[in-house]
Amino acid sequence: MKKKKKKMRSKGAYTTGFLFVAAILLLLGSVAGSSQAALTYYSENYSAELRMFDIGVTLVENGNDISWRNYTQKDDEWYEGGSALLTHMLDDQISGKEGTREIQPGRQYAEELCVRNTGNIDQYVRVMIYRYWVDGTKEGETPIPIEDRAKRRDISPEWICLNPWADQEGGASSFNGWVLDEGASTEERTVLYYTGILKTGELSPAFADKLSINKEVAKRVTTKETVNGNYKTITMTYDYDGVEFVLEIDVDAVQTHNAADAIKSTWGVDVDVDAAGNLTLRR
Amino acid sequence: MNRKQSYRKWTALLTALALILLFGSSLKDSLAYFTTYTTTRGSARLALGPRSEIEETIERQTKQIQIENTGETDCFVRARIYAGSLLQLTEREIVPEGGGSHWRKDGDGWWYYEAILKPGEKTNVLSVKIDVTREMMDQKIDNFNVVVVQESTLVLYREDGTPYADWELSIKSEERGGAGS
Repeated sequence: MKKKKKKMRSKGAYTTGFLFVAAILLLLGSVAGSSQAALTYYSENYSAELRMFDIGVTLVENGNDISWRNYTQKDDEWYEGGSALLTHMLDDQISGKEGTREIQPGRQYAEELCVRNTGNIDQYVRVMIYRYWVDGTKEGETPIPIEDRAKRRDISPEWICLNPWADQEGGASSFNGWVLDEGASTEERTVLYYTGILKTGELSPAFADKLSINKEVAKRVTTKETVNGNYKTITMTYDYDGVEFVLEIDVDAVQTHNAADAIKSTWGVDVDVDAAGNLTLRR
Repeated sequence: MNRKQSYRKWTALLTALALILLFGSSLKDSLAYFTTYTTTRGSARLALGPRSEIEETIERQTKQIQIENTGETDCFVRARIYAGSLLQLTEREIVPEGGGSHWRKDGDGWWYYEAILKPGEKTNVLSVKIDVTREMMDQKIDNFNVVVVQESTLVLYREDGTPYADWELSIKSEERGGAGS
């Protein structure tokens, strides 16, 4: 019993000793903090540079910024905006009334499309081009947004020819440093990758330069004959008169650091990147 | 399982959870990549279906023919005049003062207007003088028809931008006019 009491007393002494040592350490720590603060007060001013990584991308059509989405870490804010494609083309057309927003088959319109790096880090970019037809707005009707209109599946998207990727003869597989991802492209969608690094502020080479509508679209006519006495009237109507074609472009950009993993993670695509930073699609 | 064991199990579980949460949050940062995107679209209406109408007047055995583009898009037009073989027709273009000559008669019998006709525009006048021949008088034919057929087609463009007409795609209309002698 006596032995047990003695043991307990020594355990209490150890605890007291431990707490005492801890208190001394804390005290010394607080003193050291003060002295450090005093040192800082009298020391020289040092400037520190904190680098912000902002990513941004802009689609450029015939030299004009059309659509962009830029991040600024300073404000922790995404700045995005832009306007519609093809508006310039309709204003520039030589024939037709001003602002008719109509284009003519077979005619080639300038459509130079590029991507600009509007961030402050280098990036890899890809574009996805969608071409399709929708019903046009009839005279006197309230215009309906394109996304609410039904697609015309009976008209071939290939008749919307964006040089050099799509035309009746087939189209290119690479152009100006852009390569076609044949596996991901369809009749309606064209997927292109820029193989080089797009540096900060740099404008990529054009991934398309001309747009035209295949003349085949004008060859679909419906003929109606009506007889009035001695007269026979033949009325021919163009099946696709007044329809609208749509050109839609998505631009994606990703960091160059750890590029293969970043591209796989964000775009789901396997790529190889060589020492010079050139990107190749793994087939 | 006694209370003490259960307590230890819970403590271990909570500790593991705390560690997962701690490392999980730091893992998230390292897996986030800098990426952005932008999307836009545009549309344009396809201009097909030219429309044109004949305007004609008859005065002193002469038909004055003009074709007007009544559609919303540019077009090319052509015209052809049909009459009985006994009639003698003198066809010519009347070029307005300061204007250019555009009508050209081709070997196929059609008159082609070589300028692009913009919406609302009219062609130069195509004049057709009708002469009654002696044979008609001998056969006592006192009425006859002169028929004008006009066609319009949309303006197509070659790759170099040169406009041209494909008359296989033409829209046809017919105008029949009579004259008496």
